[in-house]
Amino acid sequence: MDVIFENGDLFLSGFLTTIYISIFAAILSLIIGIVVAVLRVTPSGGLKVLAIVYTEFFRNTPFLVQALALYFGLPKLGLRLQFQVFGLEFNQSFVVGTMALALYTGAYVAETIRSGLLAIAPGQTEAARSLGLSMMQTLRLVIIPQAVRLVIPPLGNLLIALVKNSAVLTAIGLAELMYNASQVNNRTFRTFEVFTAVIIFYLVLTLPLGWLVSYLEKKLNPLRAIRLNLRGAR
Amino acid sequence: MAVQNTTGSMVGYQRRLQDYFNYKNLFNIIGWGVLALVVLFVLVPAATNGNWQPFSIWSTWTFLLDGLWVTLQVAFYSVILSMIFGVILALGRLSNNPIISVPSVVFIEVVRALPSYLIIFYAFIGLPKIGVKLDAIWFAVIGLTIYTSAILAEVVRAGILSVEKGQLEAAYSLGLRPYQTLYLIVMPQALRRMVPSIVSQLITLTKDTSLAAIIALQELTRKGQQLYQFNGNILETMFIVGMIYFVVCYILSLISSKLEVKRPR
Repeated sequence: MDVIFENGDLFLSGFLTTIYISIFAAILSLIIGIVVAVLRVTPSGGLKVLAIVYTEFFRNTPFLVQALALYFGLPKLGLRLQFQVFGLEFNQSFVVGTMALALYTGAYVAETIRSGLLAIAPGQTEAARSLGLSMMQTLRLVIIPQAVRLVIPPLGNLLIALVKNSAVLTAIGLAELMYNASQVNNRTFRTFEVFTAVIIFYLVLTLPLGWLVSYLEKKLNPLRAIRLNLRGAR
Repeated sequence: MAVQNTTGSMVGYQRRLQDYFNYKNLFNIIGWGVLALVVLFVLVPAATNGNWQPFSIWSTWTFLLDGLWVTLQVAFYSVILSMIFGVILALGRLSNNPIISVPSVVFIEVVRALPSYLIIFYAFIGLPKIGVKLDAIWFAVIGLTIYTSAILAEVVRAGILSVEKGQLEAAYSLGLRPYQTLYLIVMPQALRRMVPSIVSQLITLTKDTSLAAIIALQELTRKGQQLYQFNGNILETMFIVGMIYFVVCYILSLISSKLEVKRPR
């Protein structure tokens, strides 16, 4: 146990980095997902092709490959992504890690939102239109309120997957929980204590999220009348 | 509008103009324009630079395909093992005996909440400490099996619970024993409903095998890493590696959507 307390600051800073990168990536991936989902349901041919290529490519290739390609590839293109905001320093690992996580999860978010929109029965749209609602009103008053209910639980699952996937960013040298724990392990060789601590840290993050998701699922879709058939990233 | 009341021909002419420039067409024009710009300024320069040269040599491809073979082996062993353990865990969780069900629930919930990378890494680092000596490939298989069996256990459980109660009652009233009911009535129906989810999990598993690169297993991603460290063309190499994964995963997802359509509702 003493290993954990002696290196408590490393564990804590890793834990916080994991939380920060998850929050940043979650917000970014939600934005990406909404934009891509909208592009996929609008009648714009060219952008639809781009959106399809993006989702299919990022969903069907491993996250590790994407992260490595972005981290080592972007500097080759002359992009150096590190900056300081309000005295906080964001290094290359953090910025590229956030981007990679957001791009990977964003593809899943887009698919989730799209299938949420498509899961609303076409009769709903037809009924709204025949009642004289405009297209925007139909979206705003009829489709989106129903779609949001359907989409929130799977999005919660994607958030859990995102937190878990952030561990892979060890490979690009991001000093998150897994990375710092490996450092401690390499120094002390106290594998069991170190990794038990890591497991507890991850459980503290993901288990409550999982409970929240299943609570929301019961609360929002009690009948589960329409089952979303989604390929989760988990 | 005022124009509409003057002459009919004007109205038709304007309609056609309006139709031509309506928002749908505008979106379309902008969309294809953006796509053309992307192709022109991103894809063409990316495709015509000299970094693709190593891929004109056959030995580069055999080097990568060796890695793919290891990847497929890991995925195959892991999926077979995790199917077996997944069914055992699901039955354990559904068991009435708390000595069996409580450990199953704890195992499933804990493992599902952890990153698969952590489990593989822990297996790789931790198992040799307690005297287990194996090839790297088996550490990857063990790690992935632990993770995937917990997830498949939930899939199997959902499948078993989706079988209607009447089926069970009918089986019992016909005099079948509990295990006969399970093997003859419940599992055949449950398995059929689980197939799409299992195939989806197989796709995730195939992607997760790339994590074994971090424990220095010579699979596809690791081979790709060695290749770009040698040739210095990371983006191109990782694109090719990604495309190989893409082909494998896409074939699996096509199978999955085929099976989904066939499933009776």
